[in-house]
Amino acid sequence: MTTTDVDPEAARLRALVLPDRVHGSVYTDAEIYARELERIWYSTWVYVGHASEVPEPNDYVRKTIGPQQVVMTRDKTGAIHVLHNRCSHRGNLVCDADRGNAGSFRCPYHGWTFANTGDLLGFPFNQGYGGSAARAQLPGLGAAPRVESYRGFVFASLAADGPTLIEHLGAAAERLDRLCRLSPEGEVELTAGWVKHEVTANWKMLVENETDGYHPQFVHSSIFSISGSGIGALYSDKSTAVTRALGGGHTENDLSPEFRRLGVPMGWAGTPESKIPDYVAAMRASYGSDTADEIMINGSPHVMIFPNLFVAEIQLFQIQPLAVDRTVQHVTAIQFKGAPDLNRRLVTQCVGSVGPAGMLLADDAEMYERNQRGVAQRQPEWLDLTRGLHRERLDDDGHTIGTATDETSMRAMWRHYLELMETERSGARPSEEP
Amino acid sequence: MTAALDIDVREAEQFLYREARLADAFALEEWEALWTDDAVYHVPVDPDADPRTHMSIVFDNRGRIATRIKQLQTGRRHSQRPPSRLCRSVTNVELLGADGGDTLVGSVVQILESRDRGTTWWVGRVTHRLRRVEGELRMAAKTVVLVDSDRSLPTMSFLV
Amino acid sequence: MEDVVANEFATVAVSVDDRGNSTRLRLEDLRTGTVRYLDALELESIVWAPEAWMRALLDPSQHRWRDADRGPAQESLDP
Repeated sequence: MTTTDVDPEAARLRALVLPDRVHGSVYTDAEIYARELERIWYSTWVYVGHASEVPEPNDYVRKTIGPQQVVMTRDKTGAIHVLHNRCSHRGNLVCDADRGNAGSFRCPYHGWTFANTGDLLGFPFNQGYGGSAARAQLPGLGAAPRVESYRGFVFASLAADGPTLIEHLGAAAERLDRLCRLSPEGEVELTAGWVKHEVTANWKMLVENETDGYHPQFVHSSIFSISGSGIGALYSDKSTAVTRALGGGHTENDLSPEFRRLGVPMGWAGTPESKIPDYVAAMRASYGSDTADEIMINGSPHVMIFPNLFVAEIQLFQIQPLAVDRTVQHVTAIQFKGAPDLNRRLVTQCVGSVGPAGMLLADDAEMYERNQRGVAQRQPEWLDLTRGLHRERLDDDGHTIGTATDETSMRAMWRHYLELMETERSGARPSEEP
Repeated sequence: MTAALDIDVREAEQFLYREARLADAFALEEWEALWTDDAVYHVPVDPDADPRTHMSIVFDNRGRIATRIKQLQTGRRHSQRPPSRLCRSVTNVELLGADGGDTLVGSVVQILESRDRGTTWWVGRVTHRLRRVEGELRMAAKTVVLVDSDRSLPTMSFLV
Repeated sequence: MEDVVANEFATVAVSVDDRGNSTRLRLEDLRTGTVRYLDALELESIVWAPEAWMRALLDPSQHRWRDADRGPAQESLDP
């Protein structure tokens, strides 16, 4: 970590983000937000999309990296690219459709045409540039300098240098493994489409809430009390679940101790085996009965991969900041390859929970928005982060853990945040790509 | 489309207006009583996608409609505390045809929602599947295709 | 739905493929099993291609028999 004491903004941030509290202005200050875009969103690895969204050669989908519009393409050789949606001629948006299949993109403004790798293929009336040879001297579409995948999850970094994706993911990679193991074929697919839920709140409100085990009993009591849901009990003082800092700002609510205590395959999903016989049979055929049961008992992860990928058991959220006080949460039901009977239940369950009308997420969103308005008030200036500080400990893997309702995850997120924000700027240079 | 229409447009309008008024007023029990036992309440993201395999904004069977109502009745549905102030108009009412004894009615709804966070204007095309049950009209299905259904939407936890 | 366009020189199956994120044309040379997909912009470009370009395309040394290592025995194209 390189810190620069000559950087007054870094010094100011160190005074606003403390080990046991953060200042309200970190959620409302537009200058801090601008720095976050450069130091975090345009530097570190950001989740962009999933390989299953571009299954065929030449498929593409429009995606985002914070406020940046990008197009994730699969070229004809199968390689995945993340391209800025901006014509290299006059800066027009090149791509309109949310998804499609095209080997090339043609800008509607003047007809410049680009391969789905970003290469400039040509332009109309090329004598105006002295002939088609000019193509080699003119730039193509901007491309994320680094694109890597892990288990089909595609991440991009707009910085040319930095840690590899696997270094960035660290212990969080194993959580994606745990998720994929729930498929009899070892893969997830994001094929159910997206609900986009916009909130008037800073993106960090969402990141913090995702692994805050303190709020469910309060925010979601309306649904827990009438649906007989067991979720509330997972986040109580009696719960054996833990909140864990995975390093790199990644955090989780590890509910598997509770799921193991329950000891019922698919108990974590609230779905009895009898309702999904094909899935259970396929799992046992793939992994053997004992291992399959263990996988189905341990359940799915609840992990927040900093800064924008949140896997909450059966659903996947992608967090997209639009402005200091505007954030979109894109959400889809996770689909397990080779599990059609389970997948249908997951769509139904997920639709009931998430999005603008969701029985859970509408109330989370209300809290983000109330929180955003609250922190704009003048006193007492600080947000407290001390819950469980006195009872934190290290687990066998050396990760800091707290109880199910402790703020271990928030403290870890803020530590990493400060590291990124005060580090001498290494990324976010203009791409060197032609 | 089989069977003759047994509902005229005037009767359909009266039903839609009443349903709109009950939803605006959070007359939850009366609104819930308008549904048939096999009801489906659907607010799609993509109206052409299969809601069993694709995400929707709302896709409730009769049991889940009841859950949604009960959640509002707890008084702890935070996104509806205080309840949104609502006023909706229903227009362009049109009989679309008959299907298995039910009548399909198309309309346009415009809803002004006022909350502390500001006001939101919700607009969509609605299809009601109406059925006469023991002499009374009931909704067997209601589908609301919002103009912005596949764009980013703010919280919408009232009854649309 | 698949149709076959055939004459005495070539036999090609033609279908609209919708496995990708939007439709594309699937062409299969039934004599070799070689497949090529064409998206809408590629098709439009072919419609507008000058005759000289089409004539060049039909020159066998441009593709299947493009060098000494290729010939009738070499029945598949590199991508």
